[in-house]
Amino acid sequence: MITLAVDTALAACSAAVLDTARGEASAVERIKPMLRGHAEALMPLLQGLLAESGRSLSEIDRFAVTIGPGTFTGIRVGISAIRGLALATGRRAVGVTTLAAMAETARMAGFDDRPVLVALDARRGEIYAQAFTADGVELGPARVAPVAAVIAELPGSVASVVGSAAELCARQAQAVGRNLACLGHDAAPRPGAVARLAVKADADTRPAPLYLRPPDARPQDGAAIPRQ
Amino acid sequence: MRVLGIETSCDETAAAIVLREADGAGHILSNVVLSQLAEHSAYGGVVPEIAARAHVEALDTLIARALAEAGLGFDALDGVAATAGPGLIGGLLVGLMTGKAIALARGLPFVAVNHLEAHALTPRLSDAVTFPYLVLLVTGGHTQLVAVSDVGRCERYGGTVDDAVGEAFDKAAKMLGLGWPGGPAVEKRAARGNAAAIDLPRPMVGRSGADFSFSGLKTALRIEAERRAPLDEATISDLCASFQAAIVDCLVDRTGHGLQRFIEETGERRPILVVAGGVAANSAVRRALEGFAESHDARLVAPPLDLCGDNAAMVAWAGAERLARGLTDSLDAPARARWPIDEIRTA
Repeated sequence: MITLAVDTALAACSAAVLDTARGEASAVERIKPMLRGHAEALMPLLQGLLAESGRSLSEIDRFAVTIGPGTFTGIRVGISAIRGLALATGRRAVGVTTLAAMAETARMAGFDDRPVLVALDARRGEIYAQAFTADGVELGPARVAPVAAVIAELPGSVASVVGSAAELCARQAQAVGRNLACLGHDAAPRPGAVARLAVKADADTRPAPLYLRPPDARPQDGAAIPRQ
Repeated sequence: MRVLGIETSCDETAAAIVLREADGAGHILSNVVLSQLAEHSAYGGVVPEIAARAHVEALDTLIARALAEAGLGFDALDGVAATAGPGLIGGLLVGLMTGKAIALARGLPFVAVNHLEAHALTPRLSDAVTFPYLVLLVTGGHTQLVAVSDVGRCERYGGTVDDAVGEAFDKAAKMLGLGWPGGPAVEKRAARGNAAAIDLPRPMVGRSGADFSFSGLKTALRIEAERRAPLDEATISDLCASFQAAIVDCLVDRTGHGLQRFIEETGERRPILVVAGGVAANSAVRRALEGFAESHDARLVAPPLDLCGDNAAMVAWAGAERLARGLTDSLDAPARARWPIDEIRTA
C-alpha cells in the first residue's frame, strides 16, 4: 500500500510517501518548519515530494492527515487538502491525531520502550496532552488542560514526555516530586510517523478536525431599543 | 470549457459547475449552496471560527453533489476556481486548499478568484452582458461602484467610507430587535410602514464623487428610535420604512454620480447598469434603480436572486472567464482577507 501523509497542524508543513512494500521505515519525507504560510507551502511541497519519490497522485492508495489538536487554521488547511485529494482520486482518506503521531515519532527515534506523555503547547496556560503505551495504545483521551492538572492525573507508569510543552511538564512533575524524563521537544511529528499510523488506521471514517476547544464566540449583546 | 467553482469566503458553503462556450455564452450546470444562517443567528452575525468549522465539514460532500447534479465526473472538468479573497481568512483557506488539491490531483489549471470580481462578472453569465458596464455592488461586506471594462479590468469609482449597506441593514435590525440577517427583516417591516414618518439624513447625497456613507444614518436611526422608546409595532415599521427609503435615496444618488462619470469616460449612449450582491435582492432597491435607469436612458441588469447572494456559480464563471484569457494561478496562491477589486492581476 502506498500512503501519502500530510501534517500542517503545528509548527511545520510536512508530507511523506510511504510504500509498505518497501518496508515501514522507507518513507520519503519533506519537512519545512514554519509557524504560518502552510496554505501557500503545501502544494509545492507535495509536488516536490511526489517528484522525489517517483510517484504520481493516481498511484496513492490512501491519504492521511493530522486532524489536531493544533492550530485551528492549520488543522483545516491539511484536512481540506487531503479531503480534496481523496475526492478527486476516489481514494480513502484517514485522520491521525497530532498526539498519536508525536508518540509514533518518538517511538521511531527509539527513545523509549516505556509509556510516554505527549504534551503540546496550547497557549492560554494550557497544553494539549495524551499519554500512550510503548505500543502506541492510548492511556486516556486527548485533552486540553493546565499543565498542573495533566501532571496530577498522569498514570504512574508514564515516566517520559515529548512535545513542545515537554520541558514545562518535566518541571511541573519535578515540583510535585515526580520524575518525568524530557525525551525531546519537537514542535511537530514526522510525516512518516503519520503515514505509518495511517496504514494501520480504520479507513471507514473520513478525517474530521479534533479541535478540543470550542470556537471563540459569544452571543452579541442586545443593543436593542426597548419595545412595548 | 467546464469549470468547478468553490465559494467559502463568508457564511455560505457553495460549489457549482459552469460551462463557458467558445463564443462566451455561459450555462450553469449545477449550483449548490449550503447556508450557515442557523449556526450564526444565535450570535447576531457571522462568527468567523464557526463559519470556518462549518465550511470544512460540508465542502467535499457539496462538491460531490455539484458534480452529481451536473451529471459529470472530474474528468469532464477543464479547470478549478476557488474564491481566494476578500473574506474571512479561515473560511477562504478551506475552499482554496480543496480547490488546489483537486487541481493538483486531476492536473487541471487553477484560478484564485476575487470574490468581488465574481460578483461583477455575474451579469455576463446570467444576461450575456458585454463590456463595458457599471456595477453597483451591494453586499453585507461591500458597497462599491465599479466600472468593468474587461476581465481583470475593474475601476473602482467609489465605495463606502464606513459601513457596507448590508451591514447598515443588519445594525438597524439589531437595534430594532428584528434579528439577523437584517436586510430581509427590515424590508418586511418597511412594507407595512410609512417612509415619510421619520426624517432621516441622506449622507453624501449631492456630493461629488461616488463614495457612500451609512454610519451617520444608522446613528440618526438610533436617536429617533430612542426618542420613541418603548417602541410599538407601528413605530418599528415606520422606522424601517424611513430607514430603507433613506438608503435607497443614497444608493440612487451615488449611482447617478457614478453613471455620469461612466458615460463621460466610455461615451456609452445607452449605458448598462448592473446591480449585484445580496442587497440587490431588496425589492425597494431594485424598484428604485429600475426607475433611475429608465429616466437616465440606461439598461438595468439585475441577475436572478440566487446569483445575487454568495454562490459558487459566479466563482466558476469568473474562473472560466479568466481561463479563457489564459489567466491562471499557481498552487502557492495565498488567501487574502483584503483584496480590492482594482488590484486584481490582469496578466
